[in-house]
Order: sequence, then structure tokens, then C-alpha cells
Amino acid sequence: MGLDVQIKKRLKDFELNIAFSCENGRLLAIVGPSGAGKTITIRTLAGLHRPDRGLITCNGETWADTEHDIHVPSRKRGIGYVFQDYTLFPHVNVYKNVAFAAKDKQRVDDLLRLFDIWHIKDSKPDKISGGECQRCAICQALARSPRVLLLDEPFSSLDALTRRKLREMLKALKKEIHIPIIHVTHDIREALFLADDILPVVQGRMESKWLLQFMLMSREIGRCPDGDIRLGNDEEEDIELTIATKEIMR
Amino acid sequence: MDLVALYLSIKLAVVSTIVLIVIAAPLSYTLVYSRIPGKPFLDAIINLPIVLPPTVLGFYLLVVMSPKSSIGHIWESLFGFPLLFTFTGIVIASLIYSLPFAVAPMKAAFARIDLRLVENAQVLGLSPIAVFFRVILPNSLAGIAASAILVFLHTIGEFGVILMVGGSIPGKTKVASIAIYEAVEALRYQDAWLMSLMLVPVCFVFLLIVNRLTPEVRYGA
Repeated sequence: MGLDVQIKKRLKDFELNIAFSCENGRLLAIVGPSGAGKTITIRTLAGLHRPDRGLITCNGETWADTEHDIHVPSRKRGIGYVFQDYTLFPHVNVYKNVAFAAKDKQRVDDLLRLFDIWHIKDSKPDKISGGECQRCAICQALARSPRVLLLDEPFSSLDALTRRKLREMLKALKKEIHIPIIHVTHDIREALFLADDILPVVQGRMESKWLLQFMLMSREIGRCPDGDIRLGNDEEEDIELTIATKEIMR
Repeated sequence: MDLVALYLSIKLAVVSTIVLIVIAAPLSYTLVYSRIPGKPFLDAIINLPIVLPPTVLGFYLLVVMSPKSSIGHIWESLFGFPLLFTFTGIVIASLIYSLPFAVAPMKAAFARIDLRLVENAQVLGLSPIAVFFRVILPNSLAGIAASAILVFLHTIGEFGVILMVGGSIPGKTKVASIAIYEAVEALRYQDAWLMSLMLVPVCFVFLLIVNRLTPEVRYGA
């Protein structure tokens, strides 16, 4: 059980053609350069875009099926979505942001403490740092006990130290929540550190060759130690690269 | 000095402002966020009072509100009193006349809201109505205040439309602007001066109240 996705969507410069699965409890990283179609993919999962053709199911429930004209609106998908930049509601404080759609007050309190933002719960978003904003955004997404967690380059605008700290937090969190996590990033090292599976996307298509080239390049410049990259014979089918590189960032 | 006319002006402006804010908020939301067909047509209809001369608009309203017209007739049979030459009549005329001044700042404020906030609210499970009340409205207070100010001041200054629809019945439809005009016509300049001067603190107090209610409004920023 988990998330199954097949989507095709005509974009300005290319056609997005993506298919993947992510089981409950696993983190799938969608990696690729800017403009590759990563964000459109995650937004389509969230129901903010409709695919031209495709099928999206979550734990057996159909969210989108173009053949049968099914499109479940975003608000009914039960998704936790962390946007690229801080998308907190500016008119309410941190606590109210996290509790915005939460049903369980205790869960809100627990998340604020877990992510170490309890002390700023009464502050408005414009009075806290970028890292605190993003922790608040993650708490907000988790507070309603989502069925899927979508992360759209959540750490891209943070400094290196904060980014590293939040990666650690997310990694610890992954073990706690038993839902599929889709993490969009252009940072391959971030993907290697966090992901169970990696989906490389270039120009709207799944490109395992791109990832391999990147890995080889990274290895050459000494950033990336040996990783066990399993590539299938058929490159088109080899969309889930299982990379056992748990030690890479240490 | 005609204090009753001054009171009627303030009453008309307050009622028009409150009613128009309530009407204009969902209307502006629809114009900005919905995908209904004929939006340019609806937008043009709303803005018609800006380009029409007040006397022309007043004349149309005079015809439409007349008991001889179907609308005026239905109104009278439903509520038992006519629309023409009544306070209710001038309120309705004022609502139509000031509608574009309520909608324009609100539309601008709604359109300025970061779309990702709306998307985030949707993803968090909020219905469109909840998004409107919990995200759009609280983040558009400056635009709503601007609407309120414009409508209030515009209504206080109304003359042509009110005169056509309400005439000049003391205590019913004779508002300050008409009383000032009549005082000048009768060469009672002292009365005209006093009435005109009284409108300045009234408008000033209104601006202070709106500013107080919406502390985040920053002018000239």
C-alpha cells in the first residue's frame, strides 16, 4: 500500500511523463535540474494541477483518473505539503499556523516541541528565522496526520547549517510516520542522505542515466563516497534507483 | 444649520458602507478567484456607475424604482411602501452608485495575496468558504479599509443620484450635500459654510475609526 502515480502533462517546452510508486514508510526523492518538471509533478499529486492523462491512487483510493474523469480536489486528499518557500499564514502566530487545520491539539503541542519551536509559538512568521519558518511549515503539514507528505525543495533557501539540521530532523521523522514521503530536490546529496528511492527527472522524463553521470561526477570530485547503485538492464523501466549510501553525508 | 440633513448623510454613508462591504467582499472574491464565464461582462456592469454621469444613473434608477415599473411595483406590493423618495430608495441608489468604489480596492487586495497561501489552505483541507474567511479576508484588511473609506466619503459627497431618486424631503431624503446646495441657492451662505465645515470633522473621525480598526494599514508605504 502507498502512492501509485502515472501522469502525463503537456508543458510549455516538453511533455511530463512520470510513473512511480512509493510505499508507506518510504521516502522517494524526485531529483533533477531546475525546470525538469519536479514541482509540476508534486503539485499534480497535491491536486493543484490536473494531469492530461494519468492515474493517481493512494492506499487504493483514486485521486485522479483522467479516463474516468475523476479529480479529487486538494482539500479532500489529506495531504501534507511543504512548499518551497515559507508559505505560513502571516496573520497568525506559529502555534495557530501549526494548528490551522489540525484536529488534535495535543499533536500540535507535541510537534512544536519535537521540532523545537515551542518557545516561538506566540511569534508571527515575520519575526522568526527561515529555519524556524520551515520547521513550522513541516509541523503544519504533519499536524493534520496526512496520508502523504509532499516536500517541495523545503530546504533550498536555508543556510548550510540549518539545512543539515533539518535534514537530520526529517530523517528521524521518517521513522516515526508510516506514510509515503515525496521529496522534490535538485540537490542530489540531499536525496542520497534522505531517500529510500530516487527518481531522476530531466525534461519531464525519468532519466536514470543523468543520475549515474551525476554520481560519477560527484565521486570524481570526492564529495560522494562509494555507493551501491543498482541499474536495471532496461533504462526506461529502471525508475527506482535504490541507492544504499547511508554513510554518504557522515 | 440643518443638523437633520447632516445626520441623514452620516446615516446613509454608514449604512451604505456596511452593506457594500458585505456585498463587495464575496463579489470581489468571485471576480478574482472563480472561473465563472462572463467575468469581463460582470466587471463592466459593476463599473458602469463610474463612467455614467450621476444624473443619468439617477434617471435610470428613477425609472426602475417607479411604482409603474415592474421592479418598483413588486417592491411596493412586497414591503408596502415605494422606493422613490424614501430613505430605503436612496440607500439602494447609493449602493449601486458606490459599488465600483467598494469592489476595486478589494479586488486589488485579494489579487495581491500570495496564491501559495490559498493553495496551502486548500491542501490543508479548507473549503473555498473557509479559505475566504480564514485566509483571504484577514490578509486583505488594508484593502477592505480602503473600500470602506472610499464608499463612506463617496456617499457623503453624493448629490445627483440622491436628488433624482430621493428628491429633497426634510428628515427623509434631504442629505447634507443637498442642504448645502439649497442653502447656497437661497443665499444662506452662513448655513452652507457651517454644514460644509461640519463634514470635515465627520470624515476625519471616520478615517480615524477605520485606521484604529485596521492597524496594519500603512499609507504612503
